[in-house]
Amino acid sequence: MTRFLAIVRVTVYQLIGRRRSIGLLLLAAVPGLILLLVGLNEADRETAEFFRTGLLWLVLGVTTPIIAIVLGSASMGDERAYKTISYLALRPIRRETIAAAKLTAAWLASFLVAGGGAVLAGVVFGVTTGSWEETLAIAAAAAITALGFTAVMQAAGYITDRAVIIGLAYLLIWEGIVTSAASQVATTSIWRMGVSAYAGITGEIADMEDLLSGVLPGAWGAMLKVLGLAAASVLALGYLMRDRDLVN
Amino acid sequence: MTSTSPAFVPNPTIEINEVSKWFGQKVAVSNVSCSFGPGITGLLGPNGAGKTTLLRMMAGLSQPSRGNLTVLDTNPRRDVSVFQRIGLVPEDDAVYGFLTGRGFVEYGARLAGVKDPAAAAAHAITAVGMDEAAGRAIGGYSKGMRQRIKVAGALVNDPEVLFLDEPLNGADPVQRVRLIELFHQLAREGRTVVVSSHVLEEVEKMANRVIAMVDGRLAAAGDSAAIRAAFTDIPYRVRIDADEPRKLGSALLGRDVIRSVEVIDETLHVQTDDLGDLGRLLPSLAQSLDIRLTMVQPEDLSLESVFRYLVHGR
Repeated sequence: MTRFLAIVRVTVYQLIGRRRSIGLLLLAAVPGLILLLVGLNEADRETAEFFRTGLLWLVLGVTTPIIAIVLGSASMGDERAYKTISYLALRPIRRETIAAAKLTAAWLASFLVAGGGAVLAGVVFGVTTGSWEETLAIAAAAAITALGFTAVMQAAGYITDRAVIIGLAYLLIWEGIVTSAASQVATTSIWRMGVSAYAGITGEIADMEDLLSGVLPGAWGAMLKVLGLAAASVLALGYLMRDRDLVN
Repeated sequence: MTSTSPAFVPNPTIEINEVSKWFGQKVAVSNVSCSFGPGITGLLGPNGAGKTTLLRMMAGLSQPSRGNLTVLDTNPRRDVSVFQRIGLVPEDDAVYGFLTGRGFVEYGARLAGVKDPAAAAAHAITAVGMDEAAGRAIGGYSKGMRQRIKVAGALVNDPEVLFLDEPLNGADPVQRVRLIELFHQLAREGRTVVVSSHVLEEVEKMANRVIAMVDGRLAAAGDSAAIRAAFTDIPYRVRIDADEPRKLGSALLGRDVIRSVEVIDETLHVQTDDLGDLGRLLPSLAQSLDIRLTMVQPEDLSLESVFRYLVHGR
């Protein structure tokens, strides 16, 4: 096992092994349960419309970002909070390699939890409407959204122990209010990158104009954007680990 | 401070040059220069003296606000390859509780790039006597067991330089003896072992050289006797057991070498500026007075006494 994989493995255990995972799993399951209620009470057409508007917003704009904010902040934040960072950092490993491994782990953990919820919603949708193509699309969109938020939050988790609060404020104010009100900055919205990927994969754009807020649909474009965020995050964390003290 | 100062050693593996560290307005380490070489050196000081801060800078966990330091001719903040040759046992009770002891030590071995992580981990675990518990999750370990698995984690890459921050915390007496013997063994193998502790007895058992810090500054360096000798303004206290202590005390009064004489519970306590002169005077004086001496013992050569002088000035 390489050093990279060793860090990924231990970090995934570290992130999802804690009690907070139960709360995050319950949060991830909420959209699927809501969709189940809608599907049982509405016709297929209304259920499909709800899926592409309200549910997509709930999964990509609320639950996946919250889960990714918590786990992305914790990937380095836990090492500092529990003072285990010396075991990780005082090793002959490039700081960027550590940062990339931690981000990979945070993304995997976020995707396991949030993506699980997204797949659950897709399955509920498939069972209630008989249409299954949305399942893959929402899982891919959740993966892209999770990577974007974990990338942004990882360095924040290293700098401050209030990263989760800052992340939630960012989600509410910038992602929720500012980018919805001003379409000029909507392309910077991470959760809309997920929506863009979903729209690109399914080709269903008609019901989703409000969610997109002018962002063009396209899975590849969304993927490139979050990969750019991930690369910037790795470089930023690598720099911070060299420049700042590893312990307070 | 010159290179002949006791703060410096020949052929150093760690060199600290005018290093300071501050956190906002608080100065934790102030203009410290010293060096460390093979063998065990105790980093001694009361809580808040700056020893953990200095140890963390040496280990590469934090960087000096001013000055520079090298470990094995390398700045650990600039060149991570030096971590292949360094081990740290941190003071904090910091372990991955969800890993087994073996998993924890193997993880360290993998990160250090050890060729056979499983074998290296097994060797380190045996060295600290944790074979039986190695398969259990660390979360269920006692404090002493956690301490020993941390030591195993630091030893797994066979380091040339080992930093130990309060390494015996939580260890029971048997474990303490075993760990101290292990550290002595590492020192005999030519490794540099730096032990930070505020427990004087521990340092005295482990270290043959001491760097003492008070209020962030280097207060003294050397072995405890050498540091004690530097306090020229504080007389030595000597306990003398004799069959006629009052008679001997009267005879000593007025001698140049004696500062004060006191008899407490039929034991003579004298203060002198020169142990050598007193040592030469006592036998002849006792013989001339037909007094039998049963014990002559300096009372303040111990590290505890030296430390008390360093911290309280008396």
